[in-house]
Amino acid sequence: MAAYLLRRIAGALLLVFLLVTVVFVLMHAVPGEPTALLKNQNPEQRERLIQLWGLDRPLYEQYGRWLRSALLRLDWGTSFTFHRPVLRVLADAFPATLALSTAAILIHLALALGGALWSVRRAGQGADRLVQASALVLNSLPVFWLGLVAILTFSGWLPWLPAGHMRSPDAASVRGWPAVADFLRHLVLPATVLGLSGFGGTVRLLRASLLEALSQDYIRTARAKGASEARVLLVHALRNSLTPLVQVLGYTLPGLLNGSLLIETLFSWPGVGQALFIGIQSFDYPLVLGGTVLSGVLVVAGTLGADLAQLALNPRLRPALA
Amino acid sequence: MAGGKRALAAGATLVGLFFALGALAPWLAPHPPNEQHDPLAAGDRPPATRMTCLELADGRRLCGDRCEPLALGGFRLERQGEWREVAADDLAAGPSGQPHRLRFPLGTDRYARDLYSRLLYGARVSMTLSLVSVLLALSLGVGVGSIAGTARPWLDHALMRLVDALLAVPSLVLILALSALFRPGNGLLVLVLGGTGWMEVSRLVRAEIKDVAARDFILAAEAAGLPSWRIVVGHLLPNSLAPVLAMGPILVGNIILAESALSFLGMGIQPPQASWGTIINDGRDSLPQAWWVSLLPGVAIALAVIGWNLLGEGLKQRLDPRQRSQSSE
Amino acid sequence: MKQAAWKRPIAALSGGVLGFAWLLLAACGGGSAPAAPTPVPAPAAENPVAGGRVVVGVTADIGSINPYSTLSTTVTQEIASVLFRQLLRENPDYTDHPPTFGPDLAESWEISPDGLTVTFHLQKDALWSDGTPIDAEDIRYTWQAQTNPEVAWDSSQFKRFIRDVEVVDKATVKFHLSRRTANPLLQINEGQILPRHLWSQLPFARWHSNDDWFVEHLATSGPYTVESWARQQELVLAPNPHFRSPHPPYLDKVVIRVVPEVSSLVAEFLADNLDVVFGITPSDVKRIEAQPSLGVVSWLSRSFAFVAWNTRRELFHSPAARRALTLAIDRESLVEAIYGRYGKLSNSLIISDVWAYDRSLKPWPYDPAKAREILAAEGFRDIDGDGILDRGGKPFRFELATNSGNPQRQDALILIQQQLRKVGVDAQLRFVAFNPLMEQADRGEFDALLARWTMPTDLDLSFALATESIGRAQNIFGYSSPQMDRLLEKTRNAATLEEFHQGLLEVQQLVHQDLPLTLLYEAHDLGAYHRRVHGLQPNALRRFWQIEDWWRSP
Repeated sequence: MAAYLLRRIAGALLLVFLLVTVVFVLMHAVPGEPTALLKNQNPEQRERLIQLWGLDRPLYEQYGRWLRSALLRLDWGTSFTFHRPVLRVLADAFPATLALSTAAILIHLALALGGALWSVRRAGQGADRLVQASALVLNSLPVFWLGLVAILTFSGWLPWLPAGHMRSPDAASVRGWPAVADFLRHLVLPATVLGLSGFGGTVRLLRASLLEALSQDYIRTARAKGASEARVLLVHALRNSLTPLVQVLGYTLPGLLNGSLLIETLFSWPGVGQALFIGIQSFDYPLVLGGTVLSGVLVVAGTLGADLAQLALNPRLRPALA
Repeated sequence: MAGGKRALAAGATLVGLFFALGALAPWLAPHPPNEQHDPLAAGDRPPATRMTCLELADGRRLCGDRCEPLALGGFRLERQGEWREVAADDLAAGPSGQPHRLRFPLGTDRYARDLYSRLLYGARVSMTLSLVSVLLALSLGVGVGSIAGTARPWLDHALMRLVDALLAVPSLVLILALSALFRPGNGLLVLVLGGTGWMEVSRLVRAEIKDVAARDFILAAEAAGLPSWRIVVGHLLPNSLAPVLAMGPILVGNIILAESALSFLGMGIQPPQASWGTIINDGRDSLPQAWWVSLLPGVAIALAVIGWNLLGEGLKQRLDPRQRSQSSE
Repeated sequence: MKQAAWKRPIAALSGGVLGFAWLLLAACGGGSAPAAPTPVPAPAAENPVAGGRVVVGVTADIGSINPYSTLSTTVTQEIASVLFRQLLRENPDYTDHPPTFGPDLAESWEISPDGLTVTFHLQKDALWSDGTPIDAEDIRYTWQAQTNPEVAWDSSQFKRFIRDVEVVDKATVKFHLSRRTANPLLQINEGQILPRHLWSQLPFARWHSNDDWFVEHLATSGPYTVESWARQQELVLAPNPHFRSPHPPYLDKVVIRVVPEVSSLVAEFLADNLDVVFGITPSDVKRIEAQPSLGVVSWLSRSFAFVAWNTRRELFHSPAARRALTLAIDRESLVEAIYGRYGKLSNSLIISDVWAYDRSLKPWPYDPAKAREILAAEGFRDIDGDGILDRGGKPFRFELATNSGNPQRQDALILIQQQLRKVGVDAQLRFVAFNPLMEQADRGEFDALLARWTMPTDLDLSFALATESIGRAQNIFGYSSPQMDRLLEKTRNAATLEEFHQGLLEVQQLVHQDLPLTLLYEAHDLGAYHRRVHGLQPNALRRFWQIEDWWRSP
């Protein structure tokens, strides 16, 4: 078990290292230079900045320097656009992304569970077909388009919710519950849109695993013992679906990060995705590198966590791995 | 079983329809996709708009909601509630200088380009581009997957770790970084979309090959002393390809979505070329007053992707016996 | 009483950008039917009321509150002007002559007869927002920051002619210059004065990586100071308790909110979540004007759009060919199609309402017939009958580029492409990301490109036109004319205003004849406000011009 854990973690670290290398090489192959952002009337100034940012060094040296300072001093370089340490830019943006993704996952799960349970109870009926059809449609919609529709509907035609941002203007002057309510009002639209992305896959998976569980002997036993249908579904069948669910959640993480890049840009949500997009547009190497590493670490940690959780949930898998 | 057949039929119909629309775009579209019809008067018009237009001698075009002849020759046009008079001398010679009606079945964008025509040409771009990208992704995926599936363990391991690393980057970030690399264009887009879509395929192919390789007939072939390349090409690959074929259409759907996201961010298809993603992006600034520009291409994307997904679903059930037995339960 | 009935929006000529600046995104044109800017009328009967909060929506992010931050953006400059004062304040008289200056931190000044020393006498009672006096050391320190290589300020070369800044006493400072110029105040006054007592604690070498430091150690001299700042979200400004001239700011709070999506910006404004918005598009005007409680304000920006011809290319080498191409572009329709009534035909590198603009210039008309004639005389004929002119076996085909992500420019290219096709010229469009495009322009690796520049405040056109500026400054055209070089030299060394003006007129005439670039349009910038907000006077340089005058009806 311990050996397995160690092997997985070592594998994860190797993965992150590979990732950094790939991104580093990609970023530096780009022809645009950040100094082109300068109003380039002054070549000397440009030279100076290139020196300042170490862009005149050979690539392997830049790479080595970055690795060393990133690992040893936790210094991920300075963002060219924000003039702040990359780690601070990301750390400032991370809570916003965390809040948005957590809310999105919760909404995602609630909707998927609700949909799957509803469709299983009425398997083969209209409701089941409706859930299946909406799963197909939602999986086929571009998430940014869904965002545009949401903005148009709920802050354009029906001006109920804000079209973007995390808080109302001058929110610092509001405290306590009103501030929380204000934050939630801003969270609803982006989190729902993000939560709906990939929804179709989860619903189908849950539905299939619930159906499979319902055909098992122990469910028949429970029914025979006179357990209510709700209890059978919610307690017995659902437990069986937890394992695949956890795994799917682990694997939806990259999709979630993709979606949050689009959704954060669309809703001016001050998260990692938005910072990363600004970085990509302005050739901010350190920021893009840092942002990619961060999202890569999250994905690797997510899959690792999902695998481990699966082990914890399903002891039967253990001997095979040990 | 019946569900699979229906999905296949519905998917094939939708996909076929979009291919037909794209292929026939030059004949079906009432206007060239980039033609701007008098933006001042005909911009941001809702679906089912008809306007009367006049061609002027210097090559300009004026459009209005109403047109009346003037007593002294020439016409007057009602543009945005204001009447504008056009003298007979300023009109183009021949029939084009006479008032003629133009239809905009799905409305116009703010540069007074016909949305219906742009959507048709967009179908053309999106369908071909995603299809070519998928071919690239499939061949890369099958290539890497079959190498990994049949190679020595260290190479297999190395390849699969690379695949894991690439899968760990959110694909949009990877795509954005890549498209900043070179001069934007369709060729690059195909490379980028294909180059970021093959990893799942390679995993699948590798798993299938490992699976098939353990079966009796392969073992028999090995025992019979067939050279290994013949085993791979003649037995392993053909027997592993069915799930890959089923995966193709779903991949096309994903790539259409990725292309539209990229074009929406301004890093995919380059304007003035119409693609569904760029049209959505074009309409973004005038969303509240002209919702049709951004919303209609989304419907087109959804229908096309639904079509591909249904097709993939249907193929999967037809080609994969395990799937079949499962779903018939 | 403080408010004149009408305040004319002003395009002040200093404090902004020296040297032509590239504009990445057109801020979009604006205004209403007349070409003249629409000012905000102040209700004559009402007196300003103190108190209240105004929320301003902008589309671009605030990069830094330090005006000398390395990659400063327009918004950064605007915020800097709200937070920090300069030595002098320009008067709004640019239409008739070069701007004159009035007192700001300096209450008086004199220029020595040899023109090599400028002495400023500072206001004695001016204080930073933390109560520290503003003194001559701050002025000297600011100059050191502006010229420090590690700060790498993008306009530092304009301070190069300052040999030294001498602190005579707390309230007197002397600028020693290395050469005489026509208007030294323009360059000396460039840039806001910094709080030395706080910022000198951070060595210049660490400026470019510690932007947070400046917010944490901030004292301002302008009407407002920073209360809180959430990057990419909003900046909250509170009054500077020590700002007195001409009066303390009226508003209790100004919130500057970043809304990158124009459609969201307008939606939030219409939903009454924003009091003032800048950066809206002409298509939003109608919906805003439909509401009587809302008003639209527009002003002519200092920027102009043009097609740059790479004169090193054989196709564009002769001025006659460039003239033919200019005649073949229907510039009037172009402006109308892209900006509606909110744009204006551009004819000179100098914006049309600036004093030095040559009003005698006759715009090149749209004349495709004449264009065809000139091209024929230049030896271009359609030999193979494909509708494209040929010369020496090669078709008249070239790449016309602009930056991607800007719909206005892209559509301008599409229009130009169609028009050129009518005279047998085949322009192939190319859309390139902004940074690579600028680099290609610098290196001369392009055929023709469409760009938008902001006019330099000192009217020194040699950046774009002098032979020595090829590959070094902004002569992306590769344009080299001995006559032009002589004229530019003469203008730069003009000792009197008349000579300077005469020189500028001759330069403009020569550009008009030689056409290294085809000028397209000057556009208005647009904003909107709720009528409960008064005192807005946005202009080409500062949307937040004299923000201390803003007030809000209770």
